[in-house]
Amino acid sequence: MEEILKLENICVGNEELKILKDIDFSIKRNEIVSIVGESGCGKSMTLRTIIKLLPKNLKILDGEVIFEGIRLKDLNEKEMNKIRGKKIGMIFQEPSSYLNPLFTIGNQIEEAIRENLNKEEKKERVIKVLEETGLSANVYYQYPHQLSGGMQQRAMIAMALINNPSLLLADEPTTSLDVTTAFTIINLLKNLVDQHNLSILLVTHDISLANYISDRIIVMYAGIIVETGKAKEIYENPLHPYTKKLIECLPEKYKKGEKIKTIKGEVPLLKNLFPGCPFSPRCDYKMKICEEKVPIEINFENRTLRCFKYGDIVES
Amino acid sequence: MEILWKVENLKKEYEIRTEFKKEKIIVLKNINIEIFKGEIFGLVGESGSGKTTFGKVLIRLIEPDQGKIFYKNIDITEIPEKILRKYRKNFQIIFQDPYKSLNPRIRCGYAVMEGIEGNVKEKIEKAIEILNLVGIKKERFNDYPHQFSGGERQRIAIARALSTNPEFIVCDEPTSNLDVSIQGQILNLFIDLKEKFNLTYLFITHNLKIARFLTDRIAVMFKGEIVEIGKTEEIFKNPSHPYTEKLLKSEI
Repeated sequence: MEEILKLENICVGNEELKILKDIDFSIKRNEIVSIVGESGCGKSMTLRTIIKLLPKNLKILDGEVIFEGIRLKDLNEKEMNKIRGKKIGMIFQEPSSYLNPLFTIGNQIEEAIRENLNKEEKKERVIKVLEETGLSANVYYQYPHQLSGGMQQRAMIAMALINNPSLLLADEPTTSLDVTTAFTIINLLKNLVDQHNLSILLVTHDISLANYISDRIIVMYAGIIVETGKAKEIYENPLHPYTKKLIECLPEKYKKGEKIKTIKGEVPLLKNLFPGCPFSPRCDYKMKICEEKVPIEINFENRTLRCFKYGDIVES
Repeated sequence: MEILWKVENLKKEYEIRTEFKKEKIIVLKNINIEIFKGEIFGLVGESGSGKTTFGKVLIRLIEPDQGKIFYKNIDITEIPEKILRKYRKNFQIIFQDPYKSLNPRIRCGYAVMEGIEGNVKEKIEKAIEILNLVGIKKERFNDYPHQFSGGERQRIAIARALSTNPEFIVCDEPTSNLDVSIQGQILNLFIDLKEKFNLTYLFITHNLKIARFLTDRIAVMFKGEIVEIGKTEEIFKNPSHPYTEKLLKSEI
């Protein structure tokens, strides 16, 4: 299958610290890929690197983002704006803070259309997309406060899809929603993949959700990718100690009265990073080498892994 | 088992004013619940079903319109506010968002000291003890809320709730704003504290996985009504109400 997005050894940061190191993955057409990790692991930063919307004090130090064969590094701001929204759509965690309370939903979605259409055509198109996301045509005339959280998120998805993008970036799209609505939104995203010929890169901290929706999972920790592989394989047979711990702390893995095994400690602040594997202070399998060097990526059977437990190949 | 709370025919309506007329929305209708001492009672349902309103009406942070609430066989619906205050320290509430429930201008230690009785020295000692219990170190006594992470703030909110030696705590989605790994730590803390202080919880959540793991009995709420109530195990095994079934199906 054709690769739609490819990140090659991306490093992001400034003179003082690197927040992303050697991020290397690709997304194929019609594929859903999830990035999983705790807060502060660099998941959202990875998304922002792709559309080149990094905070001012950070820049891409090294590596390439290749989207549909185009090297995004070479594009200037004007050319980049043609890709944002048109080729790459994005949805966020809290829909209410991204919708303007003073304009109707129809108005706001129409604004996002990049093609030159007349009024009637625009309206027709907006209503079509609204219906595809499971909203009624009536929503076109409504204001954001008249919609529930789930409906607002649907409107956001409609807005992201209005230009028929080929890639959708979703930054924790269901975190602020309750179970039943989250479930319908996730199923909606799943169905859109085939309908719109779409690929989705989803960021979440819930690995069971990632397992449900995605084809592949990428586990990140402190700015590096520690494990990637097929969703089912990762969820059922995690290899990296961090992935194991992430799955272990889900409450559904325990019976009543048992203690949840949690991950001791916290994600390290990036300015306090030491030369070794960043997970080693919290790891049960820590060896001497873990404190000295960052393990390099091991590749086997569609899986990549960074851990000395599975062979101590040292970067020269 | 001793009945701690007994709620009879509880009703609450909110008035909504539109341009031309006043409309009434029924938030809670005819709620009957008994909560036993020492249990974790779960309240599940989707947002807007009235879970939070019930939690607040129960401890009279919101006045009910109709019905009676008995706390240890004392009817607290009729008691004037002044006398209710004596009971208030027995029941506490922990909110969903620790970023909003702590005053940004009060140091964490002082926030915990507020509820403790005694002279200043005793207050400080007790506050340090409680903070230590929830996993906040003594050195951080003088830090402001913004210096703590989300999980730590929720710990401080728990410490504040514990500072008056309560018997009963309403936990209003205390982990839904936290990471999965931190969520596990906080849930463990709730279990530890329950055993240590012999607490009773009303645990409001929309996360069925947590409800299943934590609670002894469960009530399912739908549009202001309790549609099903019973032992957690049994409800998860064979739900009898169609809404409960739908809720269980949407588990990922």
